[in-house]
Amino acid sequence: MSYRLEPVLCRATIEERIAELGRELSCDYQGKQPVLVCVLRGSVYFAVDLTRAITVPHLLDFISISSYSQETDPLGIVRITKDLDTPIVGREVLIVEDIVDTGLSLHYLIRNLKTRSPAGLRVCTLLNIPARRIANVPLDYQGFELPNIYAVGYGLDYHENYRNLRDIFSLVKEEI
Amino acid sequence: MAVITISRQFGAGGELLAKKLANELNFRLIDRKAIAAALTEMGLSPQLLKFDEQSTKGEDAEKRQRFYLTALHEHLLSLAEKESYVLVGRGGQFLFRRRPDAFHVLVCAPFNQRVQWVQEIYNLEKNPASLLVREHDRRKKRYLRQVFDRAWLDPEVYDLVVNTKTLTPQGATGLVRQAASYFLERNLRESAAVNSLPARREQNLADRKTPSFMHPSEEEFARMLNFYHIPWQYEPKTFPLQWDSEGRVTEAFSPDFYLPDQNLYVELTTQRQKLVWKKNKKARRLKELYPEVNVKIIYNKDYLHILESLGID
Repeated sequence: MSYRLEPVLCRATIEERIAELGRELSCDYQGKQPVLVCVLRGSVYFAVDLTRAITVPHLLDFISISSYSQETDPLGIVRITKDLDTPIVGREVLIVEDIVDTGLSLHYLIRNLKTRSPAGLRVCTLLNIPARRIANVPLDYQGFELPNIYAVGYGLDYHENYRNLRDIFSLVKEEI
Repeated sequence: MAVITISRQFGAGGELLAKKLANELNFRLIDRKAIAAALTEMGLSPQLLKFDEQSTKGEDAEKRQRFYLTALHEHLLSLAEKESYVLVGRGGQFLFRRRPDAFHVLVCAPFNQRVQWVQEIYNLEKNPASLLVREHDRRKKRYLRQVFDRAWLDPEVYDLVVNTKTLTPQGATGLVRQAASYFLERNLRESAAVNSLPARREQNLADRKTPSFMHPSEEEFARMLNFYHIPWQYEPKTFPLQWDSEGRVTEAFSPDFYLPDQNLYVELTTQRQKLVWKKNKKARRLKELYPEVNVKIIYNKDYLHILESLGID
């Protein structure tokens, strides 16, 4: 099996959309000092650029949850592998995701964070692939809606590769 | 328990290799004969054997093939819980894919060599022997595509690929025996380690009563839902889609999963994209007749994307 990368979103388009999202969030979170929850690891690139586009005071924190893997723990259940350092009770929280496809991990995260009684909980994702959705999750802000492709670059990986690319590509498999 | 699957190109000597291997390892051999016996034991018609390793065309044939495959796969999976065996063909390499207790072997040989052996064994001229080999290869390829949507000769599927021309059938058998022994020893060590884990894990296993899934991808999907705490039911409802003049149901659709929290029915399909039109048609009809029902078809390509995004191939 070999792969080729087809360009989907270029750096300028991504930057422009993030600037728009920054303006929208700055307006919505005026005077609220939200906690931006960056979901490790793919969202780091987006979260960093997004924070620079937000002009109102806010706090950035990180969370990581285990992902489904049959090999490592077939009997396991999802758990938090790195929790927030900031208590979010009574605070406005914005989950920052790089991509929402099945919605399974985000569904868990929302449920988990809700139990900590934040004042508000919203979701901002750079990419949304509704064609793969299994769990209903509310998306309050989204960068781009994509068709059913395998997206890589700008934090999104395929077996830990391609995260460092500045543009977003579709990874296309070519059968030899 | 361990399962050694032997996939074989026609005429490469896979059956014989499997038989010798089973003998040497003292494992049961599961081949066509053993499957026929199992069908009889289950009270099923031996007629079903005509669907064995055969692709089908037509809705009725597909239904019966599905019935046969469900029975066969359930039998193979439940047998693997009880004893170790060597399985010849039947897509075992895909059925037991990702099972840590399964070892997958592909027995192959160049086309001309296989033709020559087939000529000798069946006492055939070169041309009919060539045709026979080609036809068997084609049929097997099509069957595995239809049932598992996988490329038969993808080397990544196998733990060991042996060429019976260069190694000779005897040499290949010896090599597979050696590799299988190494694998079985390692598997034994690892299962001993797993068994020594806290009893809670075993309790977890016992607590999670899982239904008999039609296909390994459904089982994996259920595990994934469990992982993310998404409640599910397996094939809880059948929706009648068409009736004859006397009101008897002639067509129905039973989506694989229902996710009550999402109020969503999910149908997983492992067929190739161009073969899913029938399912699409059923889903469309379902939406027409039951507009309040949400159903989602997850195509094989989507499912692979989901697994890949989780780092699973």
